[in-house]
Order: sequence, then C-alpha cells, then structure tokens
Amino acid sequence: MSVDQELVQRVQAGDKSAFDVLIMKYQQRIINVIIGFVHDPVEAQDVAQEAFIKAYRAIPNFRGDSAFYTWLYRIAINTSKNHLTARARRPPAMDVDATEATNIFDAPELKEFETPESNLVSDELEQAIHQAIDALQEDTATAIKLREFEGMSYEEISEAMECPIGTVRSRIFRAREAIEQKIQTIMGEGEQQ
Amino acid sequence: MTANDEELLSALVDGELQGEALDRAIALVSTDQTARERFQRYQLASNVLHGQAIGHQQGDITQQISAAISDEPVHSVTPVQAKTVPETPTADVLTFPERFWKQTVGLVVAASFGALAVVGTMTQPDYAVMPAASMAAVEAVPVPNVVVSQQQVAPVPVVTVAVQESGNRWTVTEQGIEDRLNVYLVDHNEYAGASDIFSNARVIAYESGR
Repeated sequence: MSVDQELVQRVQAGDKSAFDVLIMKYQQRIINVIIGFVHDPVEAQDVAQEAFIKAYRAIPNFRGDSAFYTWLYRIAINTSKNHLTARARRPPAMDVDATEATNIFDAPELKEFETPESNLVSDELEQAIHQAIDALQEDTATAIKLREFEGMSYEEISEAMECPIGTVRSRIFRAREAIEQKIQTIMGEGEQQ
Repeated sequence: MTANDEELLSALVDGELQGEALDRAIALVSTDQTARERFQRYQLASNVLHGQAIGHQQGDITQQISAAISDEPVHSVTPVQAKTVPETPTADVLTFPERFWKQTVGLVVAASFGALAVVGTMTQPDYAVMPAASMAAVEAVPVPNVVVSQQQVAPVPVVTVAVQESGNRWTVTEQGIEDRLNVYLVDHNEYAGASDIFSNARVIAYESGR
C-alpha cells in the first residue's frame, strides 16, 4: 500500500492530521494547476483551499480506484471551473489530463500562465538544486539521483548500490539537507527583495 | 527535532514510511512548525526536480484548511480497501512429468480415432463392409442365367442378359454391359453412402482389398 493510500485510510478513520500531510504534499502542485485557470496566484490559493475542503468532505467515498492525486486534481479542476462560472468568467476551453499534469513540462497549457518572475524563481531554484547535488559526495549524489531522476524506491536503490536500505535513507536525507540549505538561501534572498 | 526525525521527514517525501514511523512523521508535521517548514522545503525540492513547480511564491495554506475543516465532522468510515487482487486459496497441484502428459495425449488421440472408426462403421450400411463381389451379388440378386424381363414396363422387345458372378467381377454375355456394370461396381464402392472422412476411409479400404 502506498503512503497516500495509508494516509487516506487514516483520514477516513477519523485522523484529520493525516489530511494535513496530504495538503502539504500536494498544495504546490494543486495551486499551480489552478493558476492555469484563474491566472492569479492569490485567487488560486483561495480556490485551492475550497478544493481541499471539498476533497476532505468527499474522502469517505474515495475508493482508491485511481491515485489520490488524480482524484484531487479532478476536484481542483471542477472547483476552478465553478469558481470562474460563479464570477461570470468563462473557463478556458483547455483541459489538462491528470496524468499529464503530473509533470508541468508535459502540460504546455499550464506553462503559458508563467510569468517572467515565476520563471526566474523556478530557474534559480532548479539551478541551485543541481549545484547542490553536484557538490555532494559521489555515493550521496548517486542515491538522490536514482531517487529523484530515476524514480527508484529505497529497496531498488539499495540493490543497485549494494548497501542496506538504512544507508540509502541516510544518503538521501544528507542530499536533501544540502539542497534544503540552498533553497533556504534563495527563499531568504527572495523575501528580502 | 532530532536528526532521526529529519530523516523521517525526508523518507515521508519519498513515500517510504509505514506503521509507527509514519505515525511519528504525521505527528511531527502536525505539531512542529519547524518540521512542517522543513517537510515543505523537501517537498518543494522534489517537485522542482520533477518539473512540478513553476515557482510562483506560494504561502502554506495547510493551516487555513485545517481551521476550515476543524468544524467538519470527523470521518469514521471503515476504510475502503484499495483495489487489490484478493488472495484466493490455491489447491495443491500435483505436477506430472512431461513424459506423462505426452503419453496421455497420445492415448487420448488414439482413443478418439478408435471411437471415430467404430462410430463410422456402425453408421454405414451393412454392405459397406462387405466384399465388392458379395455386395454386387446382393444388389443384383446374382442368380446364374437370370432373365430380366422388362415386358411389363414397356412394350419393347424383350432383352435377355445373362449375368454371372465370377470372383470380384461380373461376367455378362455382352462385353459392353459387363464393362459398364463393373465400372458401376467400382464407382459404387468408392462413393455410395460415403461422406467426408469416410469417403477417404472407403477408398483406402477398397484399394487395400484390391
């Protein structure tokens, strides 16, 4: 069972804090999808809140036939369209498939709503993360690359690198620590500006 | 927050936690603001690496949503199991050697042909298995020097033909009639009452008996 499924089951069983984890995990992606409809980041946050509340109310009916994100994505799209209709604004004709929307680069309909500022931040972040990875020790860099770029599980990485799963977890954590420090620096500079 | 807790948050981003470790991670991000921020940055880094964040400065909406759903009733449904293939009890299966199966299949095929032959024989008219000479004798009632009279059929001159069985052929006084009769005999043995595979069987039987 995936972590998402386990979190959903905990929410269904009455654990609201498990829903917090789902919000934290997917809010960025959901807001980005909604920005594609409403064209305004602040307004998109309001619509995202509404979408998450709807998802919480409907979660007892979620049966796990699809991935949680796919289900949540559909709710976000419908909420965005209803939001625009309620404000007498025409929803865009485009509709992005949930599987496509998993990767923003595969969804050109959403990319057109990027602004020069958002592109700059995104580029800076990506550059900083890659620099941080390049500065890592070889084993640590390999572990995070296999995880993030190849999508391998800890078990698969442990087999590939011939080391225990605990070691894989530590290496990936160390890589994230280095990346996180870089992100903090960029975020701090961004906030100062 | 300990280093182990931070490692838990990293594993939570990767979806690699279960059971008590997941309980601990959920408790951390629910109660500890530092842990929450760190988890969000780990998640952001992962999203950027997957091309999933376009970089709009976004605030954390978790607390607003948590506040909004705090008045919502707590769900208490029995978790619906995700689509999984139910584990059906499987019976112990005896594995036979390949040779056993080959022999069994051979036996079944042989039995099928045997049954086919028996059924075919039983459904054929009796004369089908009789020797050609005897068969012709039954049909034509071969009495030596029989006189066939067609007087009652048509008022034509009476034709008298002497017919006699001789081994596998008919002997008739007139050569033309004898040839025609023997051709009929051959044709009859080949095709009469025959159909599909039995026609082939018949030909083979005929040829072998010739």
